[in-house]
Amino acid sequence: MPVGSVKTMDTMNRELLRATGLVAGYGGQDVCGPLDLLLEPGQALGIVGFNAAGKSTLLRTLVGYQEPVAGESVILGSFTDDSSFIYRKAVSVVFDEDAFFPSLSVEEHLQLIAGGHGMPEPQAAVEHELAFFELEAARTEYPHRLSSGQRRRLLLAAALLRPCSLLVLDEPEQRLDPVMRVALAARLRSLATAGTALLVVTHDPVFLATVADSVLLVSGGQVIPASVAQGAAAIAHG
Amino acid sequence: MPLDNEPVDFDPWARNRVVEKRAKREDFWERMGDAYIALLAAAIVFGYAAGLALAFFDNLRGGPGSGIVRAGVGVVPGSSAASALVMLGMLGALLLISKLGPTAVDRAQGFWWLSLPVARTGFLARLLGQRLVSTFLYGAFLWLPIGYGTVLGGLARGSFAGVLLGAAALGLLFVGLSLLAAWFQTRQAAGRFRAALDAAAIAVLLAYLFDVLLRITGRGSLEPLWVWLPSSLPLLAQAGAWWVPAVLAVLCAGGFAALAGQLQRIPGRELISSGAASEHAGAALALLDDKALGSALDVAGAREGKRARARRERVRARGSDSFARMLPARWVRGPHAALVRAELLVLLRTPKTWRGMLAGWYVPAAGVFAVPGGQPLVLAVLVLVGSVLAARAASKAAAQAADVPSLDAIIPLGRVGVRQTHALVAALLLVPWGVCLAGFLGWAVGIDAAQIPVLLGLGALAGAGLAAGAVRMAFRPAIDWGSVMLMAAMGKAAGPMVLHFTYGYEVMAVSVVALVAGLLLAPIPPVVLLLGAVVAAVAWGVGTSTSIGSNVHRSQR
Repeated sequence: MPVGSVKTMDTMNRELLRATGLVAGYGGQDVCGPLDLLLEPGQALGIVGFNAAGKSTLLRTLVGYQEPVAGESVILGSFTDDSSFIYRKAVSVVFDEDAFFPSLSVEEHLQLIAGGHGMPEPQAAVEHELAFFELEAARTEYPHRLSSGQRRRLLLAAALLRPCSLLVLDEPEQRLDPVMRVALAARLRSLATAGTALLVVTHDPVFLATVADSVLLVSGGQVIPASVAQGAAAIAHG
Repeated sequence: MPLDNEPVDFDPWARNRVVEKRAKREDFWERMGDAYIALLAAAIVFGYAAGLALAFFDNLRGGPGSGIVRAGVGVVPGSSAASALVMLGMLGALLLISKLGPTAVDRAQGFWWLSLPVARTGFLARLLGQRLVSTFLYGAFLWLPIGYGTVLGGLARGSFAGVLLGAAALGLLFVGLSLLAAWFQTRQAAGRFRAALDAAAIAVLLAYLFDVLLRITGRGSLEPLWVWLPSSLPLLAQAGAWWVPAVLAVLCAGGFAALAGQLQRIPGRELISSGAASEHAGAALALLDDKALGSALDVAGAREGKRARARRERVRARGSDSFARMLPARWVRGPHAALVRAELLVLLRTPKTWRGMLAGWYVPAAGVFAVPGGQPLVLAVLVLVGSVLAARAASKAAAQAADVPSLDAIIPLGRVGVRQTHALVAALLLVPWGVCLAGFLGWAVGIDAAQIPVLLGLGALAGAGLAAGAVRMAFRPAIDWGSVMLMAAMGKAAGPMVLHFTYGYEVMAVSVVALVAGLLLAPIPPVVLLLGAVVAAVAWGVGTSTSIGSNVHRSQR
């Protein structure tokens, strides 16, 4: 199996993600919504909006990392959070938070993912990600020794290394240089073409245009379906 | 425009004085309320602590010689052991003080004040002075239950006034130690100072063992060392030596005056990093979160030394370290194995793991060699304290994963599966640890040779239970203060709060019951082994469960 391709699972014939009347927020206070959504395999959905509009809150609620104020979001027909191993096998998530063992090296973090997900050629997959994200020279370093951009790359490498049906990324372009942004966008696009569903929050109109095939615009507490062109224009011009 | 290179004096408090005065008038009754609550809380804590200390020391008065340790093992007098213990406590306090400053600025002060072209001496001296006052109060308050406990328990000479003198002496000792730490800050040598403190603590531990060796072999003792350690000063003051706090006060005042002028030399980064650590620790303390407090103190003052840098370079050149070569990635098959390998690597590389497990052995061992250590209650407490130290050390990787929930979510295992894997890794360390402890304690109490395998089995079972308890503690859910406040209004918060603070510890305590019972009941009845097995199984189930049966905890994601 090529690195990063979609692993066929018995859950593939289930609905990947369905949100019904979903309202995201904190402590019972609405931030945005309601939203009705059905995410299909191979669909790349971008989520855009200004700072504090509620994009990340919506994303976390959609994938069950945060309880909804109203409505529900169901993954693979049954799961509303990540407690099940089936969910963890199918969904790969990167939010804007560092999640590392302080005394595990870059390479060992990736080995943990590759081994944990039963990749047939784990070390080859690790080497591929180290090369793609230009982390080869830092393979023996511990996370606190990395720059913020390198830590971001390591998180993305861990998310892309493993097989998944749904890839969830919160502003993946942050702290990446322009060359890496372009490469990442192209890779995400190819993953979507191969059948992986993507949920991506972004502030970069070019990144959005490359990756997404549809958009949710979060503005004034509303979640409005939009085209990619409208989403890119909303980012660029408000 | 020419630049004036003379720094001007800067008193931020003077600038805000008018505003502060108005605020103080408006907040007067609120402040009185806060003071009343603080005093009430202090009185309640003191009441509990003094009661516990009195009960403990009263038990000790039951008489040496009636203990369960065999003759010739408990050789160090209680006063010498106490002096060593207090000295270690003081070194620990000094390490803590040094990690948190003592001279420090918070984030806002660092951004707005340190960037100004002004003389820093004035406001740094004031900030340090505030720290010294609170340090004095902590030290004095700490002595009160110990002093009353030892006096009322008949273990030390003294009176009501004597206890207050002892409290003042310990408070002033803490102030003096803080000034010493601040002086090293001004010399930009805080890191070396902390390394020296570590070395001093190790020296005390080794001296105690050497003293044990000398006494057991009848070649003398290190008694003069324990008498002349500064840790004996509060006890001396408590016995009526009023000059002890007086001399300490003079020394502290002189030290502060001499040091104040040099505070300008402390680099901004040192002030800011100490302040950040203090803020983190203070927030954890305000929320009564001992887990977060431990994390804050672990991180505080951590810097990469020369040896660590050299080691990193060697690892970079070789591509991996010896631990990674011991546990090669090619052996990994499946998510359980991947997580076990990763966590073992984390534990093997974390010096605190080894230190904690060694301390877990040292505490009961040191106690057994002291005269009061043979008392069943003392021995049980020492075994429990040692077990908690070792269990916390062996669950460091689980604790790291608990702090960052997404670490657990990256591999395809359910929550219970992940929890059990964490416990398995801790058990890999704690089961052999428990076997060794049981073997030593069996020797110390002179258990029959035929009973040793049973006792070792109890040690192994205790290790498994401790592993589960440690994982339970690592994954203690965050407290829901909203629910606590609601329950407090109905007078029902105390029980759930106690459950919160003993979360995980209760499983650890239960896990060592069979081992302690085995020591006390020798020859060990077979039912004790059965009890140990049942307790370990229940502890495993409770420790690795992900359900929350409490209404003051937030649900875990």
